[in-house]
Amino acid sequence: MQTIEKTVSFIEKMNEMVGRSSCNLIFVFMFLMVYEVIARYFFASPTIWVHELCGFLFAAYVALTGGWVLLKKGHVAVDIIYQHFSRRVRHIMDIVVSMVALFMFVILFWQGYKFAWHAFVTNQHSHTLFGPVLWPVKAFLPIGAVFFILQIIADFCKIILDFNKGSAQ
Amino acid sequence: MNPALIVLLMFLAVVVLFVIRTPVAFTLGAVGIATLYLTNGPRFLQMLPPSIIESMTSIILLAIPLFIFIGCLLEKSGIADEIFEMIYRWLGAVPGGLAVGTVLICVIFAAMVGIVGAATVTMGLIALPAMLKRGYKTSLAIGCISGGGALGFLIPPSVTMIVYASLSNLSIGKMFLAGIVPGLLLASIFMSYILIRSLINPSLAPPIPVEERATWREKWASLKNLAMPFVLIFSIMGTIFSGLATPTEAAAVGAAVAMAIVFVRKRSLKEGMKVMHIASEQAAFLTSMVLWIIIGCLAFSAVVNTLGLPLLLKDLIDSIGLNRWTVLIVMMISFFLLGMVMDDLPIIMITVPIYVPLITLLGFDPLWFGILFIVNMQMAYLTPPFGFVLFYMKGVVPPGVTMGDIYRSVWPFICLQGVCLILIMVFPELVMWLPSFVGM
Repeated sequence: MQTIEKTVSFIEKMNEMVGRSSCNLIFVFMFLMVYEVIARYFFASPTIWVHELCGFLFAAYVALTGGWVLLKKGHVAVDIIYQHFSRRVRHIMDIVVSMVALFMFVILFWQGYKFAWHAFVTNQHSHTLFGPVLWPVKAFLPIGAVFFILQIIADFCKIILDFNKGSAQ
Repeated sequence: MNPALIVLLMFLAVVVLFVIRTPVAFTLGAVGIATLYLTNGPRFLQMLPPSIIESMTSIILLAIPLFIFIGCLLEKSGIADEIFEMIYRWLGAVPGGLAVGTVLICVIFAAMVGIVGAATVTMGLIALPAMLKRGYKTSLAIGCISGGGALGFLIPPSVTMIVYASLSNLSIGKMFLAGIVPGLLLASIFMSYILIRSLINPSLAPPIPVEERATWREKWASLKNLAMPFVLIFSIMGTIFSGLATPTEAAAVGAAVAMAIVFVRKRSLKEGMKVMHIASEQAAFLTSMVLWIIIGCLAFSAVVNTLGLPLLLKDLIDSIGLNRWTVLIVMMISFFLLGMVMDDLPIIMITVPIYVPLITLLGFDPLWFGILFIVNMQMAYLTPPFGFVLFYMKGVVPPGVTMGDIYRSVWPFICLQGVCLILIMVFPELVMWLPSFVGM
């Protein structure tokens, strides 16, 4: 039991840390975009890299915050009927939800990993003047999926622990 | 298997998963992936990563965190107190003046902020107590804040519009322009309603006592409170519509201006940093939520597309011989019903992949339909029994006011939104005039 609790708390601490530190990327977006506008209109020298770089960082921003939002129960759900069920039924529902979520992110991890790996071995570059390598940005899909999977497992453990506590009483 | 049957099963699965409280993102994603796998085979799953990466690196969607960031900053900046002070001095002497002024402030807020929550929350804290203290009837006070707050959907910038436009491949700039006239129209409908009711029955919303009224000097002095909002509105809207910058760049410029406003108003680096920190977390949190819903929806709409559902429906409609307006009205009713139990994002995600292609096949303009959709989402924001604004209002009204009172006070405003919806349906020029004029 204790190892489970420790693992859960480790996963949650990690997601919290990763999520919260990614929040600061917004200041980077802002700075880069304002820089681009100024460079283009006051100095007539638009950059070739700001938009693409911001897009890549946006992928990181979305991927790295997903697990943290799940931890904080921030992924919006339609909870109108849920609250009327008994505790036991709700536990079972939560377990089903965990399974559904796990299914989705395992598939996304698998497909995303194949996609990113292909870009890595063929050394793909973007077809723009800036032309950065593409595998790092493509890797953010499987990375994001990993944070989700870890958090789903942590939530699942919490449901089971809570369920056991309920039946012991 | 029959495509219609597959779609029916998909929707059944969605409903079941919603009932057991699966997050919208996971519901759409899991159902989409499972159907894609079962009907088309594992090979088709390869379609997903490229489109997901495209959304995750989308410069258009990058505007979402920036607009949310602006909203959170302004909510905490205290700028609303200043504008309300000005409204109080100018309109306090008119019956219903504070309620009319509240709608006006909501319009100003909507033009600065991309999310609807911000205006409702700040007005609930500032305008509601002020109105109740001056003897305004609770139903009118609640109604004008709820209705006014919902204007944020329609008046640009609007995150809901960004999501709709990016899912249906419309230009964000055009969509923003298209929302301006209907937004101002709806605001004037609200204001005339409040004014007419309070002129007929001044006890609803009494003018403030003579000794509390502001002098002309005070009135003129208070106008300077509008300076900062107008700088912000100009820096966002001006840069978009003059073609100086893309909506995302404009949002970044706006965010920088909003940060400056917060630091100027707080007059303390530490306080300002605290606000920055909270706002940046809230922006990331909400953006992540929205983006993962969009990602889940990609799987869902991939299935709808491979099945050719919109075409099937078109054939069905032709074979029954339904009028296209009947179809449109049925869609509006479905939005209204969905709006009673859901928020705007789930509704967009479920309906846009099917409705927008169908509407285009039937010969309607998707931009015009988008504005109708947004007006519907305003109604969804208010319609009982579930809605953020209703529960929020319950939290800020005095203890004696029941949930039933709140429900009753929003109905007139929902009806006014319905009037606006019909006006836009009958006169599409209200939507199309401004975008065509600017010719973006």
